[in-house]
Amino acid sequence: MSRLSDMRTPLARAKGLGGLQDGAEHWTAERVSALLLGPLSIWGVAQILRLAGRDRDAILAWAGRVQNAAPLGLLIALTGRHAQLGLEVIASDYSRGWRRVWLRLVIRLSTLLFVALGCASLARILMTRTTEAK
Amino acid sequence: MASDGREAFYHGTDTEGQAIRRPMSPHLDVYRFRLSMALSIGNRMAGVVSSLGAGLAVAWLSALAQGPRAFNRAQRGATHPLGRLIFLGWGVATLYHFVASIRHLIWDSGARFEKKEIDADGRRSVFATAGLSLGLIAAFVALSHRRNKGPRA
Repeated sequence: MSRLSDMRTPLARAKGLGGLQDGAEHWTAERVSALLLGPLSIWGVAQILRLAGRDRDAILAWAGRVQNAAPLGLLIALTGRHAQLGLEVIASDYSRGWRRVWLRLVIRLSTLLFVALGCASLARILMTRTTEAK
Repeated sequence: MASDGREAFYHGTDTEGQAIRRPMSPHLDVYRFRLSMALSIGNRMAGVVSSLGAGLAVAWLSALAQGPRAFNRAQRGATHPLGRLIFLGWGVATLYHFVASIRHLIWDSGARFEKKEIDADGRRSVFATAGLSLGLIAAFVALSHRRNKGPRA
């Protein structure tokens, strides 16, 4: 068991007290995803400038290279995870009861869908590039 | 207790979740405005805007993957004045969220909690966000303008 979960009493952990039920782990995950997103976001901004004003072929060629697709996939996955964690904090602050449960479900599903759509699009671009190269 | 305007807001819930009328403890309205308040709630709002914008960016990526027709439609939306305004808003919100997150990570280490430091860093974060936004938007506009003119002319 991690050190952070040991900071709570066994009873508090069993009852899942607090708005998020597992606040300490949630807090840490938010910070870790933020730290990883820092350098990745700087890379993302550099890529937006690199692709500004380029046509579809140039952008496809860029996304079709593994050295670009890999960090982009990571950026999408971590953005989805960090957005999920942050939106859950807001939902737990301003809602309670069943509304909170529903909001959390909607946040989890939509951020999961975000990552799925991003990865599926990237996969399609990579496959198209491979077929065209043959 | 004398009746005053605040009584209109005396709506609460008891532990059973039933509606109950009772005085509320002093909340946001009793405090003098400070920059740190706006920056704090602004960071939350920037996070939400940044998430929504990321959703649009992934929609744009899926249009790129779908084919030329879908991509042209996405580009028409992105280059429309409203699309450009949304892109600008997404950019500024994300840059502010980035700057504010650096402050939060510093706070997590236990530093920069003194009142004077909070005020000074708050002003710095506003200038940093404005500077980054202006610089990056100018670079984006200049680069897309030059590249659009070059090969086609």
